[in-house]
Amino acid sequence: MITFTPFQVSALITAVSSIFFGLFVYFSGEKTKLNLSWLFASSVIGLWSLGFFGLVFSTNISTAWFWQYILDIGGICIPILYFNFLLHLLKRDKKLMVLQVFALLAATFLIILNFTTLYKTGVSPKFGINYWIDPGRLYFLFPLYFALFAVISTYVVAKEYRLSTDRDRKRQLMYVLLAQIFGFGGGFTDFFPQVFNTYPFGNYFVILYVIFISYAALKHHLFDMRVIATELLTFAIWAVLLVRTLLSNAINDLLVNIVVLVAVVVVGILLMRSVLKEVLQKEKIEKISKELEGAYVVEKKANIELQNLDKYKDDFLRQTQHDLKNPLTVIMGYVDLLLAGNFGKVTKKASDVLKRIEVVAQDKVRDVNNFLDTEQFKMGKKVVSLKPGVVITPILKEVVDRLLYQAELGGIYLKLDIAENMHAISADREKLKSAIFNIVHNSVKYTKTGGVNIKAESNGVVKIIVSDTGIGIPKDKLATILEGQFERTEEAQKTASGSGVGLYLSAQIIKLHNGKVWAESAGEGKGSTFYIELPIG
Amino acid sequence: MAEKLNKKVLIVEDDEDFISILKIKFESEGFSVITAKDGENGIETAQQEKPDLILSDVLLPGTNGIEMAKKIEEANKDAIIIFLTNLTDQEYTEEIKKMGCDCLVKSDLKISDIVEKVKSKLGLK
Repeated sequence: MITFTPFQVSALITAVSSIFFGLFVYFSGEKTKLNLSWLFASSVIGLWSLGFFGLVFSTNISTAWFWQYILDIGGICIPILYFNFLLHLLKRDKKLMVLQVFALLAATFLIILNFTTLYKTGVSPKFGINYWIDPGRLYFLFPLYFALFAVISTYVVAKEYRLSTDRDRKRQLMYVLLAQIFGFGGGFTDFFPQVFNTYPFGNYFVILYVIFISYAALKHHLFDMRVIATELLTFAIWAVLLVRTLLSNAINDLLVNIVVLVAVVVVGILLMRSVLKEVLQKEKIEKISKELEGAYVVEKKANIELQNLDKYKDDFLRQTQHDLKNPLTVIMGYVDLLLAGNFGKVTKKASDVLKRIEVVAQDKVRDVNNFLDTEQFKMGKKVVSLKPGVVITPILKEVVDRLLYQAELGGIYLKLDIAENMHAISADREKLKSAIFNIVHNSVKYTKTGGVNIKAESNGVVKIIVSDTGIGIPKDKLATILEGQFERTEEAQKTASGSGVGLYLSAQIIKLHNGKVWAESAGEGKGSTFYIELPIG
Repeated sequence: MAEKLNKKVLIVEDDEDFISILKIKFESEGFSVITAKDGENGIETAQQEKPDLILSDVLLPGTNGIEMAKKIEEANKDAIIIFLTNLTDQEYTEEIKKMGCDCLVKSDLKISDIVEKVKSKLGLK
C-alpha cells in the first residue's frame, strides 16, 4: 500500500490547481495577451510543483533525475513568465522591458547550466524525502535569480498599488500582492534543504497563491473574462477529485475515484452551462436596462432642447408679428387721422387715395396674419380657443364693414342678408372672423363685375353662403381650392395677386370649429359660391 | 376740438409714431394724455399720475405690458387697463383675459374704434 506524505499531497494539489486555473482563464475567458501570459505562468508553476511531486514520489534514481529536470526547468521559468504576466497586468510592457530581457537571458543561462554538474551533482534523500537535489557550485545563482525577481515583482505591484486611485484596481492589486508573497515566499523555502539545510515547510503555502488570484478574478475581474463562482467551485472539486484519483492506494479505490471524477465532470459541465446561460441572460437584461436608461437620458435632453427651440421660435414669431404689423398699423393710424380731419380738411381726391392706402395696408396686415397662422398650424400649436355664446351677426357686419370700401373701389356690390334669430355657436370670435374675412375678401378680389352676396341663416346649423359673380373656379380645382394646393388659373393671375393661403387657413380654422366648408362653381367665368356650416351650441 | 372730458389716459407704447397717433386722437376727443415708453416707466407714471385708464402695448422693452399691468394692479386694484397689441397668439390673449383686462388688436381697428372702446370703459357713452 502506497502512503503519501503531506509534502507530496501539497505538491500535487498545487500542480493540478495551477494548471487547471491557467487553462480555465485562457479557454473560458477572452484570448488576450494577459490571459495567455497567466496560462504560461500557471503552467510553469504547475510543472515545477509536479516536478516536486514526482521527485519525492520516485523510488529509483533515474526517475528522480527526470523529475528533478522537470522541477528545475519549471522553476527557472517561473520568475520570467510571472514577470511577463505582471507586465501585461500593469500594462507597462515597455518600461520594464529591460528587466524582462535580463530575466530571459538569466533563465536561458540557468536552463543550460541546469544540464551541468555546476548546477546539480545528483539527487539524494533529505529530511525523510526520498530524493532531493545535491547542488553544484553555481546552483546558488538559481535561488539568487528567483529571489531577485520575487523582490522586483513585489516592488512593482506594491508601487502600482500605492499609485493607483481606482478602488477596484487597488483591490485587484492587493490580492495579487498577497498571492505573490505566499507563492514566492512559500516556493523559496524549497531552496532551504540544499541551501540552508532546513525543511521546505513553505511549500504548503504555495497553494494560497491560486486561492488569492482566483478570488481576485471572481470578485474583482482581474482577468479579461467572466468568472462565476460555480465554475471555480466546480474546478476546485475536479482538482480535489483528480488528486484523490492520482493518490488512490488500490485498484478498487482508483476505479471508484475515476467513476466519481467522470460523473462529477459531466454534472459540473451541465451545471456550469446552465448557470452561465442564466448569467448571460442577466447581463443581457442589465445591458438593455442600461441602454434604456441611456436612451431615456438622451430623450430627456432632446426634449428640453426641443422645448427651448420651440420657445425660441415662439418668441421669434411674436417679434416678427410685432415688427411686421407695427409699421402697417402706424400707416393705417395716420390715414385714419387724415381721413377724420385731424390734420385739416382733405379733398375728395386725396381722401380716395388715402382710402386706397388703407386698403393696401389692411391687405398686407392680413397677409402677415395668414403667414403667422400658417406657421402656428405647421408647429401644431393650438390656434383656436372655442368659447360658447358667440353670435355670427356682428362678426359678419364687421367683415362687411371692413371690405365695403374695397368693393366700392372695385365697382362691385357687397350685400349682407342675415336671417333673424341666429343661434349662438361655440367659436373663437377673432379667428372665425378672420376665416370668414378671407373667404369674403377672396370673392371681392376676384369679382370685377356684379358683386358679392353674403347670406346667413340658422337652420339646425349656422350656414353662411358667400356667392359672387367673379371669375369662377374650374371644376377640377374645386376639391383642392381649400386645401392649399390650388394653382391659380391664368384668369385669376390676371385679376388679382394672392397666394391662396387665405382660403386654406379659413378652411383649417372652420374645421377646428367642427364646421364644414366647401366651394361650388359652374366653371370659369361663372362665379363661385362658398358654403360654411357651423354647429349650434 | 371736443370739449375737455377731465379724463386722463396713460399710453404705454414703444412706437413713437403710434404714441403720436393715439395722443392726437385722444386729445382731439378731449382727453388729457400722458405717455410712457417702457414697462418700468409705465409703472412709475401710473403711480405718480393716477390715470383714469391705461392703454398699453404687450411687447415692451424690459418689463413687458402684462408684467407691468400686474404690478400696477397690485398697487391699485381699480386700475383700468386695456391692452393694444398686434399679437394674436393664445398664450398672451388668454393671460390677459384671465387678468380681467380687455385686449384690442391694433391692426383690426380704426383709431376711432379704440377711442370708442375707451369711452365705453370709462362710462362716457
